[in-house]
Amino acid sequence: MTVADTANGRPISLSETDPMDVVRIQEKEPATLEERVARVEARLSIIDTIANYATGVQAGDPEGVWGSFANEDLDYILGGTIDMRAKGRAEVTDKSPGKSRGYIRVADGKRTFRGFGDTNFRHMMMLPVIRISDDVQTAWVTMHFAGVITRFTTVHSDKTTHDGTYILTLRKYGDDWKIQKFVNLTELAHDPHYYTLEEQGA
Amino acid sequence: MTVTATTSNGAPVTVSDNNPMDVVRIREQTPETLEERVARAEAKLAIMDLIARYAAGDRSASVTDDPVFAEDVDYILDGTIEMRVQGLAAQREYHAANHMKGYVRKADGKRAWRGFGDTRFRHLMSLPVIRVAADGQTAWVTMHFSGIITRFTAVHSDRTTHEGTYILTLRKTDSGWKIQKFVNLTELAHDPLYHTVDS
Repeated sequence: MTVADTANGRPISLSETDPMDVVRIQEKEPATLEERVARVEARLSIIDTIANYATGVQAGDPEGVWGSFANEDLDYILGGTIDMRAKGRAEVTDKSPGKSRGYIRVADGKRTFRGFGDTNFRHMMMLPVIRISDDVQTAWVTMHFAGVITRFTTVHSDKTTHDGTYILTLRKYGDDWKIQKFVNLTELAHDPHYYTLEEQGA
Repeated sequence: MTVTATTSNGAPVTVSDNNPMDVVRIREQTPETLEERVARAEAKLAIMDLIARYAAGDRSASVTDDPVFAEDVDYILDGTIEMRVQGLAAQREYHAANHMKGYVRKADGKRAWRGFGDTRFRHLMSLPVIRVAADGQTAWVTMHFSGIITRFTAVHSDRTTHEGTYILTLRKTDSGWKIQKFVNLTELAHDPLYHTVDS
């Protein structure tokens, strides 16, 4: 599946597996100061959208998280160690990691994960590659992330980390940039905090 | 060794190979016009993009079709490693031929490293400190990173992490910003996945 748009007059097709598809996009050179400022503003706004998402996840704030997504237009795809695809807020919510169900670990089939539980999940977002379409209404982003999961006890913390890479398509809805297509090449299913209860001896 | 580059805010800039604070202490010239302000913002975003492109490459962005290094790059690994390569061609040859073998660990002398093998390498780049020269043609950057190395098995991953700090000098070229001097104060040689085969 691909998303088509244009950058520097060329149609853009992004795979769901290769972050370098974003890196290779060539943007149009802005011709005026106004156009240059618009692209600077777009980049800062897109970074803000991604940071809002990361902060919302850590806070456990669904509205904060969904403020960064294009709700009913959202294509939500987990790849890497997980095989999941959902369309729109209702389906994504139903299958989400927080629901602790419905995951398919690529290596060995279906499993039920215990999910976040009483853990604290911090999304560490790294520097993004951002490419903006000719009409400054669409943008493509790739970036790595780390997910740090902490389970507190009275005297210490159990801490695990997994990482992954995003391939995102954002579109402008009014004045706001929203993530319309979310591809997460995640190693979440190999994070020890996400093993099954059975595996953890519970 | 230190490098003295162009001036920023009228003062000569000297950035060492071992102190990231040399970058932090640089004071930029305040832009006077709207055009200069926009150019400064564009430069900083373009430099962040360059660093992100470098990190997006699974091994080294020098092997992509859009190299982030200048032709005359001065490429230095320090910290747990002691290595210096001059020029993009030599840097590429080093990565392609050796895949991180042949490192010198400072603490205990020369070793042959087993390299990446079948692992995945993710570079996680933290926020950078960026300082741009008065003429907008040179910039200095320092930032921390984590290097995540993952070796997959059928049901789980062996995952190790090392950290480091970059001290970069960039120059603006006809094809955009390029890293002209790359100093990586890396802990790579202490990453368990990079021990020698016989260790």
